[in-house]
Amino acid sequence: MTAGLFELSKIFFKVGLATFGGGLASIPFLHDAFVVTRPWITEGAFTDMLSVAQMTPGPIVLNLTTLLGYTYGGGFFGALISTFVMLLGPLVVVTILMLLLQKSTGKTQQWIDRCRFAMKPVIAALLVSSLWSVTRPIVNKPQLWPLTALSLILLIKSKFFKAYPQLVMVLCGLITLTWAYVQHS
Amino acid sequence: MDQTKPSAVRFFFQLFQISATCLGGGAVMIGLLHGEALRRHWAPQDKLDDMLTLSLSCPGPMATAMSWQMGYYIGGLPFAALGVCAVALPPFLIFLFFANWLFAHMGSGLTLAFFKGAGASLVALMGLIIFGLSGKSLIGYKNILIFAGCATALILFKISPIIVLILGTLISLIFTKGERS
Repeated sequence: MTAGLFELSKIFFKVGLATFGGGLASIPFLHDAFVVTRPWITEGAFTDMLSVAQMTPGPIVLNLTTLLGYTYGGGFFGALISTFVMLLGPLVVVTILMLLLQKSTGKTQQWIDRCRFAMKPVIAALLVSSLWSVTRPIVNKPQLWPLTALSLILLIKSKFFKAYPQLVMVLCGLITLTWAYVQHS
Repeated sequence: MDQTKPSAVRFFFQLFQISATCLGGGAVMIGLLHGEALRRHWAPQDKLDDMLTLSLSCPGPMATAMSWQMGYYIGGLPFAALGVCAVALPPFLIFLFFANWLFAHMGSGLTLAFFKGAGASLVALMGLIIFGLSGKSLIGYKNILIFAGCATALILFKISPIIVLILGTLISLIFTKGERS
């Protein structure tokens, strides 16, 4: 079904500003907007969209927005407007903060520097928590650990893979794909 | 190190390529964008570190926040807009052309097998990126304590990132008052 573009825009504007600390944070919000509050999409279809958004390249929020905008906004323009609206709020916030950081002088500058220094370990914790969210699915699958080790070696030792690190992911994907294919046939 | 300003086409293409091939979401992508800009001398390390910090502490997708700032630094608003388009375009094209195919094949055994391997590799890639980015910020017992506290709050107690960011920074400010990098 097609939703009104205005209503979709309202949802995505909020999603953009409510998503904090990575794409996964937007999921409860989108789930509420598309499954709970409005009967637009079933639980199962939402889960399918989620796995598509997670598995396709690109930021998860952006993928979900494009996908939901495309499906419920009537195709290309729905996707375009949803993406634009979703990015609008965050980019305004980033720009204001960026300019504040650049233009500040004297005492303000001192405080900003102090905050910047104080934030370092907190930012490291945020990054590690997103690392944990991708590590958790393989913790209980020791058969996948050799691939993690192989990737580490390639990423550290090979100049080529250092320049194109995403290819290591594709390589490991192809290894498990081949393995599954061989076992299957 | 000398800085080089990329042409608009090169800048767009480089970012487009990262977005089109980066599995695993925003946190990996900002690391890759950071690395690419550093490797090509588009901006000095401290500026890129600042952009990364801001990307992580603002709402919305981190990758577009990072590409927006990188573009702005390199060539003002036109480059900033170009950077965001380069990152946002790949998902667009993928869904425009492959939406039906994706829905038909996403749940299949072979696709899942591929993503299992890619996921195992992602841990290594992301681990290295994060270690490179934040290894230096964990020097000194105070920083390690704050890091451990925030990580525990996020991972074990599932406290919202924005709360951890604000409280963590406040506590860190009190702890490190008067000390400078």
